[in-house]
Amino acid sequence: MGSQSEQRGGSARGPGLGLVVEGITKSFGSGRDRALAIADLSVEVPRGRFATVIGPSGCGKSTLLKVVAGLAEADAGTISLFGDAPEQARANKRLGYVPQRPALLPWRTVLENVRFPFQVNRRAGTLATRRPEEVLTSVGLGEVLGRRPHELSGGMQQRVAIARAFAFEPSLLVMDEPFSALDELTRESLRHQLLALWEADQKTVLFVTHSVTEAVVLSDLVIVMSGPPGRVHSVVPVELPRPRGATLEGSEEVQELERVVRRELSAAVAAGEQAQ
Amino acid sequence: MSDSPPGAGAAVEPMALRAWRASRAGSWLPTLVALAVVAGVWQLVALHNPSVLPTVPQVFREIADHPGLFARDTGATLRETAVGALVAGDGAFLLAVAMSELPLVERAIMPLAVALNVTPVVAIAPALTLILGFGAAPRYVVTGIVVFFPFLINCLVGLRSVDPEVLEVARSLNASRAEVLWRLRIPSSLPLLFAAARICLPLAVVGAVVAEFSTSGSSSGLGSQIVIAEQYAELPTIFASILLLAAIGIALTLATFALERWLLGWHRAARGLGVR
Repeated sequence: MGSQSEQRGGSARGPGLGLVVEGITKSFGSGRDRALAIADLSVEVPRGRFATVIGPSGCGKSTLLKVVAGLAEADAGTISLFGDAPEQARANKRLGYVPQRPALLPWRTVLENVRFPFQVNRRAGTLATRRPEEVLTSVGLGEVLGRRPHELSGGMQQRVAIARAFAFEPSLLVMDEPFSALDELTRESLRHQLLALWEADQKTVLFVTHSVTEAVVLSDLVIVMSGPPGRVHSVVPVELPRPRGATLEGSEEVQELERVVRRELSAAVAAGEQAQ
Repeated sequence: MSDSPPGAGAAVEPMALRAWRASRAGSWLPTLVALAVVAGVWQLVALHNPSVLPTVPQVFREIADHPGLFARDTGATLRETAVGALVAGDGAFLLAVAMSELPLVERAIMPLAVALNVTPVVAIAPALTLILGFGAAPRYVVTGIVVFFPFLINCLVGLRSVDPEVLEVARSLNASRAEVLWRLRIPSSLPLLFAAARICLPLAVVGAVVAEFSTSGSSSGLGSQIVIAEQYAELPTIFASILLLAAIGIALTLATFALERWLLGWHRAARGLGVR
C-alpha cells in the first residue's frame, strides 16, 4: 500500500514549490460525537500542475478542499500555497474557488457575475491579463454576456462559475466536483473546455471528482484518498502528452491509467472498511 | 361520463384556459364578473333591508355628495398608513441589518420585538392616545407598531437567505463584511422585503383605522368618520368609508406589485413567474 506515493517522499520543500499539505488533521463536533474527517494527511502539488482528488464518498475530499481554500481551519498540520498560508492567499486574492453548484448571483448578468471577484477585496488587486469578456468568450459564452443565470442551462451556469474563478487569475484553483450535477455529454464537453482554459495559462489546480475518467483525462497527478478518516492512499502520476484533445478519451493509454486508478480506488475502499 | 381517458380533458382544458387568460380581456373578466355578482347580491339584500345595508348607488352618491370631506379623510388615513409604514419599515430594515451583523443585538432586541408583536395593538391604541394626545402622533405610532415586527422578521430572514456556497465563494475572495452585506445580503433580501411589504401594508391600514377609532373626536380620517357616523346611524357614510379603505389597501398593494416587478424582474423570472 502506498507504493506509488512518490509525492510523499522527502523532496526539497520551500516557497514557490506549489501546494504543500503537511500532516493535516481535521475533526468535526466535540466530545463523544467528535468525528475525524482527515487524519495526518500530507500531499504535494507542484506549481502549475493539475491534481485531482478521488476517493470513496465521505472520505474527506471536500473537507481537504475547504481546508486548502482556507474556508475551514485544520486542527493540526500546515498548508503552504506557494509559501503562503491559506488565509494569506485569500487575503491576497490568489485563490479561485469553484463550488459544487454554480452559486451564481441570480440578479447579476453573466458578465457581472464574472466581475464579482474583481469588485470585492479590491485592496488585493488581481493579476488578470484578460478581460472577463474574453475569458467568457473563450468558454463559448460570448453570446450570453447580458443574460441572467436562470436563462442558461446547468452546463452554461457551471461554465460561468469556472470563468468567474479563472478570470481574476488566481495562483491556485480549487474545484469541488464542479461537474457532478451535469449529464454525461455536458460533462465531457465541459471537461475539454476546462482543459483548454487551463492549458492556456497553467495554474495550479486541486480538483475533486468522482469520475475516474475525469481524473485521468484532466490531471497530471491523481490523488487517491481513503477514509474516513481521510488519508492519501496513493498518488498516481498521469504522464499523458498535452494539450489533451477529445481523441485522447478511450485511447489505450487512458484506459490503462483508468485501470490503475480504479485498482487503487478499490484498494482504498477496502482499506477504509478495514479501518472501520 | 365520457369514454375519453380522464387525463385527456384535463390536459386540454388548462391549455385553453391559459390561452384565454393570456388575452387582456380574459385576465380581468373573472374579477369583473365576481364583482358584479357581489354588487348584485348586495343590492338585493339592501333593497329588502334598508335599515341594515345601504344600496350600492347610495354608497357612491354619499361619496359624490361630499367629495371634499371624503378626500380629506382618505388623504389623512393614507398619509398615516404610508408614513407610519415607511418609517417603521426603514427602522425595521436597519435593525434587521444590525441583528444579522451582530448576534448580540439580536439576542437583546428579539424578545422585546416578539413581546411587542404578541400584544394586541387594539389594546395599546387607547393608551397611546392618552400619552401622545388626540392628534396624528398616536396614529403614526400604532401603524408603525403593526408594520414593524413582520417587516423585521422578513428582513432578517432575507438577509440570511444568501446561498451558502455563494458565501463560500465570497469568503474565498476575502470579501469584507460590508461587501458581503452590500453586494450579497441586501440584494438577496429584496424578494422577502417585498413579500413583507405586501403583508404589512394592508396591516398598516388596519393600524391606522384602529388608532383613528380611539382618537375619533378630534381629527380627520376614515376611521374617525366611521365612528362618528355610527353614532348617527348613517349607514351610507360608514360603507362609503369602508369602500375607500379597501381602495387604499388595493392601491398600496398594486403600487408594491409594480415596484417589485420593476426592481425584481430577475427574481420573478428565476421562479418561473414570467417577467412583466
